[in-house]
Amino acid sequence: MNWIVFFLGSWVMMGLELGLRDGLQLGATGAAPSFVLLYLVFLALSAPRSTAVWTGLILGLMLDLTRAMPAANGLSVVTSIGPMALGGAMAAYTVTMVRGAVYQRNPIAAPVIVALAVFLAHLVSIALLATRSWYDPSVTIVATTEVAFSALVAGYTALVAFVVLILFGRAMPLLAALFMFDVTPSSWRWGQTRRMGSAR
Amino acid sequence: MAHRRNTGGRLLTIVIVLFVASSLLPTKWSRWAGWFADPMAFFVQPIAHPVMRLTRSLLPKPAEPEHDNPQLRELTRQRDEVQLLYRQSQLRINQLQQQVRDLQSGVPVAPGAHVRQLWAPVTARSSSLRDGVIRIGAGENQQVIPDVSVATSLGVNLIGRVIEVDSQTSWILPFNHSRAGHITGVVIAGPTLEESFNCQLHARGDGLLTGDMVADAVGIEPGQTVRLRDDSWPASAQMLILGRVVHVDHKENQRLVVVVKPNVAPDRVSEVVLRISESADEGATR
Repeated sequence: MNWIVFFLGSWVMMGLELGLRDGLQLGATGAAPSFVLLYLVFLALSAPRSTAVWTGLILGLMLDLTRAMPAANGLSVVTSIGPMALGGAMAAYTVTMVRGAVYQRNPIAAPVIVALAVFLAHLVSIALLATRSWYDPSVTIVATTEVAFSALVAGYTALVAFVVLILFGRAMPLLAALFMFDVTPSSWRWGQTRRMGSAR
Repeated sequence: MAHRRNTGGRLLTIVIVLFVASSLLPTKWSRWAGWFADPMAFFVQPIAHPVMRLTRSLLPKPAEPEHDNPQLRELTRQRDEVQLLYRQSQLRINQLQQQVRDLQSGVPVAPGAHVRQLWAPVTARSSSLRDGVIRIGAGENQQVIPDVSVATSLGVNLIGRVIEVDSQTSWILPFNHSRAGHITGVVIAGPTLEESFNCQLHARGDGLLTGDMVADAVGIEPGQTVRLRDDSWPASAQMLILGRVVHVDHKENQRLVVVVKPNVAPDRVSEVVLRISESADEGATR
């Protein structure tokens, strides 16, 4: 994988993640699609397993460092390094495990993997923060509410993935080539395989 | 080759173990994590901020017919400013009268508020919108002080309290956040403070506030302005507008319950005016 392209892509995706949330959030729920995790799934569908896990750690760390949870007493903010980094790593690992079983021509396949990965990443993060809340009075978390919220975010991100695939599906091979991924039809998992196959 | 793979795998394991450890560290031992947040903000802001500004400019503005006419908008802004000064003057007179009474009885009182106003852009929000906190582009270098500085819209509508300050940025907890706690407001039911009644408000979780009015409250109607009058907030925040009454209900004991909607949704502002008390001892008593 081309790491320079990866970091440039991470920068752009963080910009979209933080910048588009206001416009795309679902009313008062605060649920918005995660472009960074969408990007992670795109990478994990093609990168070698250990590379995918490293990208999960890095992208998750970026999300951790831009997150500020108000403390339980409302007098400070808590920054925690690790919950989303580990969530991202777990999501990337899972994607590399299931990618071989994905039916490539099914347009729903990639969005379903996105939903699974986003939900899993949040689940790991919630589990760690819930564990910490047992002994750290600054961190309070209602796990059931957070899980429901994560399901909403996962579904919404999957929907965005579906739209992105419809709009930019034809550009995916070009993007994959930029990352130095294998773009042969047999290894390609983001749809459009028929067109690529006929081109060969 | 196998050796390189082993080294990579071992490094990955070590990093994962470190992340597990730092995730589970209590806050008092993990304050260092905040040191990395500022460089991260510096890294992502050049792209996140323009995207956010563009998004906000494309979002539909709240339905306010006055916004169509620039002259009317300016007059409304001036009216709100004059009203704020008027209400603060009334409060100041009341405080001075109380001070005179206290001095006559030998009780020491706090001096008056000296406020400095500072404009700051909203640069980001937490990567999880449910956290609700807002990051602004002013910090220690601009003498922003946590708990003593409050953020407003146009200097008259309260947005929230500064709770954490870095060198260049600060975090604000909106007043309608569930973790902001109870807040005492005053519903202005008449032209003077004599026709105003206190209410104890708390966040409902959907951006609105609700709470009980004092027992002797009369003449409370939807549309009336609610202002802050809470000693746990800095002097510079007193009499700032919290919002308007949108619903009035009666409890079984006949006490009135009001629902208040903020005039300006804190999660929609793109810039704030900070009101900073000039002496730290004017801070909240919270």
